[in-house]
Amino acid sequence: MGPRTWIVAVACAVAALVVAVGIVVRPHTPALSAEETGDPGLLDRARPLLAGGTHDRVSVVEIDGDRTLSAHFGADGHTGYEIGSVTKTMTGALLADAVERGEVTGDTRLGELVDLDGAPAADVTLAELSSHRSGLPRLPGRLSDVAISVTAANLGLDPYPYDYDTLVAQVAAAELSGRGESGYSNMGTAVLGQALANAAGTDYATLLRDRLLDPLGMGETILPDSREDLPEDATVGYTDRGRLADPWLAHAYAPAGGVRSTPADMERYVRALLEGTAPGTAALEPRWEDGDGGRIGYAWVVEEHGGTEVTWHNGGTGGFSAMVALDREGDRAVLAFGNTTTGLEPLALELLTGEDS
Amino acid sequence: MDPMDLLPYAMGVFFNGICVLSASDIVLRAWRGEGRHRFPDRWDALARLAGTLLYLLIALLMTSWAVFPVAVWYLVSALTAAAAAGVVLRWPELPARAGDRSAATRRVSAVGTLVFLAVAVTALLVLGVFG
Repeated sequence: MGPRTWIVAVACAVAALVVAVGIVVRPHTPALSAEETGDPGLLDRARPLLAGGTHDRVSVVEIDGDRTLSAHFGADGHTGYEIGSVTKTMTGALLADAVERGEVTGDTRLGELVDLDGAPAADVTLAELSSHRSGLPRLPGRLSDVAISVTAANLGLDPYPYDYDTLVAQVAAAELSGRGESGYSNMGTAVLGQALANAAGTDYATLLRDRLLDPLGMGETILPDSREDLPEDATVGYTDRGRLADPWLAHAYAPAGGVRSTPADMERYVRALLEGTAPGTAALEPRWEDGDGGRIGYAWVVEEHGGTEVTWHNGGTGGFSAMVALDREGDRAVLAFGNTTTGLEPLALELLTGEDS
Repeated sequence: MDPMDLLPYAMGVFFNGICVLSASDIVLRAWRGEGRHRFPDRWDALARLAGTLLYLLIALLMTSWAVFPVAVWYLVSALTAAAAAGVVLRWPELPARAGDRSAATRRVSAVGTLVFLAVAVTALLVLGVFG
């Protein structure tokens, strides 16, 4: 073989190598699973509402009085989903429950429960934290924290690798801006959950288990602190960049978005909220303006949609989406969960209210 | 339609467009072989190829592939493969280092881009981004 032939062979090999690497690292964009189970009518109503978005596994639960319908695409009632910020409603319930127990009040100052050494955040109240009116920023603002957030957001990594001491340092370093006005804060709900755990003399995971999950029989709901805490067949989420998302373990930020649950467990939770039997149901009550035309309780947002008063909270992690919407007056609710970042809010609101949102 | 819905498409066009332009430039330079639009030396070819690979990596990571057509990824990868083959084909006839004033800059650019690319790929593998 002559020199030119060798060069051509090497060129072909290099080109083949580049193509092979391109195929190996290619983006993964799932399609809605064709494996459907559940109520045929709800499947038929949900399917068109899922068209146009990127979906893989999706579960929809519709509660209407005593009746529950479910529709699952590539899933079932026991499929685990990260519920993201829907976790905040559980932290809100823990606050309402702690108030009922007399452990704290809505006006209890954060500095009474968390050692903030006189930092501005020490003066904010638990109610302000739960209703996003504390003035704390959405995310920690220290340069190293911002770098972690940006890297995690772009690479599909867990954005909250922080322990309790780091969270407290972040809150202590935070400046308050617009206190009393609506300003969504993951950091605020995270430190609220930790403060409630301190008030009860335990950790947040135990508090949630003892006061909410166990009483409601939510045995499939977990608060993973490490990958070892995840089940072997844990559902994997997809980022909007076409990559498999890291699970959100949340650690100290767990009160703001660390729960993994199943449609069956979340049905128990929401049904108990509708019936008023869930611990801390008072969290649902709207108490303040949310600055966006609606009102807010302990995490729950209350808005009018097509003539229906909807009490709702959504959730999103690096690879999952969730939406829980309640029509308390009509004793109805729609829950939706998926393992992509495509929002499920329009689906849930349309199924609940019959109005295109 | 919310104008923000167009953002993923705009970003996809931008990042993949840079890739297409960079790879196409290499293919054309390799094709011509002579004249002003050719590789002055091996460092220049290496710098341009390393840059294209870096743009390819950025396009992969920054494009919202959930909405942007994945077929574009395969097209851009194929074009980059053609560029890499073109550099290999021209390599033997290129001077190791041209004597012009920009030679040192090209060498620094090639080495710097390759080192950055290696560090970035290593970090992404360690973080499990391609897992």
